[in-house]
Amino acid sequence: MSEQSGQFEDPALKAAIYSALSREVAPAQLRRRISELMDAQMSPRPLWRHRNASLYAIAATLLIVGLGVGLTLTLQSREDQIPSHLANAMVEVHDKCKAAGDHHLLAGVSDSDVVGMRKQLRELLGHPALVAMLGRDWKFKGAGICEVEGHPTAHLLFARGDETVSIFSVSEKLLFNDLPKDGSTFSQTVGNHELAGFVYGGAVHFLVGDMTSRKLTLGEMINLREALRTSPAGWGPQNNSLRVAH
Amino acid sequence: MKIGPEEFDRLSLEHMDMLFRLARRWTGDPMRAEDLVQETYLRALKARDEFKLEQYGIRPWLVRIMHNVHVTRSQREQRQPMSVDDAHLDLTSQKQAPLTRDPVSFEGMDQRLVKAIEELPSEYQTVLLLWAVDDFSYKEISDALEVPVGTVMSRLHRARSKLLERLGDFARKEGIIRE
Repeated sequence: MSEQSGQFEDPALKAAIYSALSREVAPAQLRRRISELMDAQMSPRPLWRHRNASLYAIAATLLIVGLGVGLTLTLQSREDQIPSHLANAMVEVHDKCKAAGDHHLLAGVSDSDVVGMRKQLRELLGHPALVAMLGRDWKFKGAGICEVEGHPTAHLLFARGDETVSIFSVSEKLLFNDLPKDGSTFSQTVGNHELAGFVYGGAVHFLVGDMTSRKLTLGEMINLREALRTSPAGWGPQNNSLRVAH
Repeated sequence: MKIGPEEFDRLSLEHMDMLFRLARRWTGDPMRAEDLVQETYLRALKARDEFKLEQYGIRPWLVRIMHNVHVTRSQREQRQPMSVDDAHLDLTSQKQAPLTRDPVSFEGMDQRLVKAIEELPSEYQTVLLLWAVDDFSYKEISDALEVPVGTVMSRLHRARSKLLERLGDFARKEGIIRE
């Protein structure tokens, strides 16, 4: 061993360690997930959830004023960065239902009857409701219809120890006129809660996770969302649990 | 120097293997390692607009993010691995949990050397990996782990000594470690 230029020199050891460990590589599924995350960040976002929406807002407002056209109200409705009122409302409902304990609010259908719950929620709400078991130690605490900003919304609640996750399926009526296309995704933070959602079947499906315990991570939330978004488990006639990549 | 998002993504993706190798050693579990790497990229993406390409490139910056995420998580779990000093690392090196092995990834490896490295405290494994596999300089390791360069040097020397103890005659015979 020698030290030259302040560096530890032991080429034999270095070569041996390199030979032994350099072939260990990141799993393909991890690489794919991260590439997808990057792609999602790169792809154009709907205006209402763009991080720089305030800049768009200013530009749009100036343009509209300058042209003197009567589109102000329409564009301003698009200028909201995120539907923060809706996010806050869902977080409130999540916390309230979590505190209430019993969340088995659907009559005539058992906890294990995923298909039955899905069918009943769809009939009552008029849009698809995402109903799937999250697996991976998440205990199903029940499903029901809860009011979010006065609108009836499908709400499933899960717990894992002191962590909780809700799944909301929200009618597009609660959002904007230009609902993003199916498959669009987003995520955001509201206080100690992380929200991750996607659009499917004319509704927006949100996961709301309580991060107060600091155990649940945004990464896990994104994994759950991606598994829900890409798996038929939440939609089809089957009764299987979700397979979440971890 | 600021870089565009496409360049940022390309540069950061190049180092996923390096991050995963470290994460495996820090967490001792491939699933937790994946979650740690993914969280690291999420944080990096959130900070993408603020990132500036400086002297050592993106590598130390990514390692530093992952290290901070790992330390924060560990502290939450009340393990606090970075609060111990190097002398304590020596004393506790026998207690390291064995790494959960993925036989595919390790195919063809020198199992004795791999095992000896895995028995080292994770702080020693980290500097060895960054130095030997990813060719980090002392300064880059220091920057990434936010420890003084002297600590990097001492960990490398101690790691080498520990390997010598564990591998003994085999290492000398194979020329892995010279006296």
